Amino acid sequence: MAYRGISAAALVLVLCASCELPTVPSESPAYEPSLFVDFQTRLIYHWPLGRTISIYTGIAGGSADDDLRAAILSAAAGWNRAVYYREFDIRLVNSPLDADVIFHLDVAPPIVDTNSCEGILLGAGGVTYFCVDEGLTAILSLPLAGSSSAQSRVKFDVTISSDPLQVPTRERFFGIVAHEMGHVLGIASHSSDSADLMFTAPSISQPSARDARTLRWLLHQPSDLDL
Amino acid sequence: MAHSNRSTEIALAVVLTLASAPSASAQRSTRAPNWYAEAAVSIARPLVEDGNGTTVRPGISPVGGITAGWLTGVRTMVTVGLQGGAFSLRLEDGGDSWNGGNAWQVDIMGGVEYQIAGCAERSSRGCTSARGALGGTLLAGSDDVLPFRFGGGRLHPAGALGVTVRLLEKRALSANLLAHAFRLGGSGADNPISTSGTALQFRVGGRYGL
Repeated sequence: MAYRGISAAALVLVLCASCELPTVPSESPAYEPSLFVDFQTRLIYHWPLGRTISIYTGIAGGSADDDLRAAILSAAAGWNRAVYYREFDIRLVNSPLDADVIFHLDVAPPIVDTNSCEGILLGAGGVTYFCVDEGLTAILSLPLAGSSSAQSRVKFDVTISSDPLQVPTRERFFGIVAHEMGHVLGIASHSSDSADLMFTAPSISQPSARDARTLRWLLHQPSDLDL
Repeated sequence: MAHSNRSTEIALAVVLTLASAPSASAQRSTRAPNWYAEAAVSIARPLVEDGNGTTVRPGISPVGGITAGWLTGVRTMVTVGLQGGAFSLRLEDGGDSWNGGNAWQVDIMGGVEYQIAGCAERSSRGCTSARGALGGTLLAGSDDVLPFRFGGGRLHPAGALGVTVRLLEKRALSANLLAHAFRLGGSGADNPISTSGTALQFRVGGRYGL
């Protein structure tokens, strides 16, 4: 009796252990997010999973700085909502020495030396600048203006236009900042759908469902470039 | 979601009905419950697997609780128990691993224990009982991590199966080995866990009669 009871219990446990796990189906990107180096080379990059990305905002003076910080926090919240497993966190820091990324208006004094390499420019009313090593294995640190790269951990320099023709509204400004943050997070290419934040000239200020799906897919691909 | 809650309600109703309507033999037994304190260590299977590569894995965690048991026959005891525990979550993808924050779990379970071996008397050392229970598991955790992102804090249908072995004659101290399972996912258009599945925890611990 006891033997049969224990056997039955063991059998149920084995069956239960082989039950299907709660599962999220795999996704494919809504558009191609890779960095096109040339016609034959496409690279994926993203920050190590679980990383806190530190952002320093350059100082232009006036209320524009507050707007920029607000736009960064809004963009960070939007992109955080796009992912399911806190793959990244974004915080603002008070010193460029602590920063992984610099965001600044084009009228602010430069913080990093963008002449240190032949950088890659991605942009839409804003420009995301970064440098890749010759072997295409890593994104390099950008030297802070007036110092050596050894003191810097900055990997991306993002310039936002202050030209009212390019940035006519606050909504557009927030959209451009969120778009550039998409490049910083790893979406190197642009969507061809005008309803997406990663469209060349975005008309929205938060990631669309297609942007979110693309980022979720991207973050779980092996990164070709170390960050 | 509605279906999931409905199942939990039905399961709870069945168990509580059993507990509140003892058999004829139970009429002869004491109606006052025996109270037990339980403590265990829980080792769990992943909570969620993502087809894109992420696995949500609970850490080894302590679980504690209290159980009321009514003797309803020579070999049978009907139980109602409340257990709770906290655990950390690790998120894994390939070789990467990162912190998923903490989660909390409360189980409300009603069940039956039946003596299956070595029980010349209920207090005999080595007296082994099989346990089964049904009920619900309330799960909560960081709202930026699945499965808590979309409607965390829900009551999930749960079941448990295990054995209890009395360790001492003079004191009501027993060892417990329990598998606790609950259903997750598939409960809403927003919830990306579209394929529901079973989260499973193995609990090893002890129980002491109060």
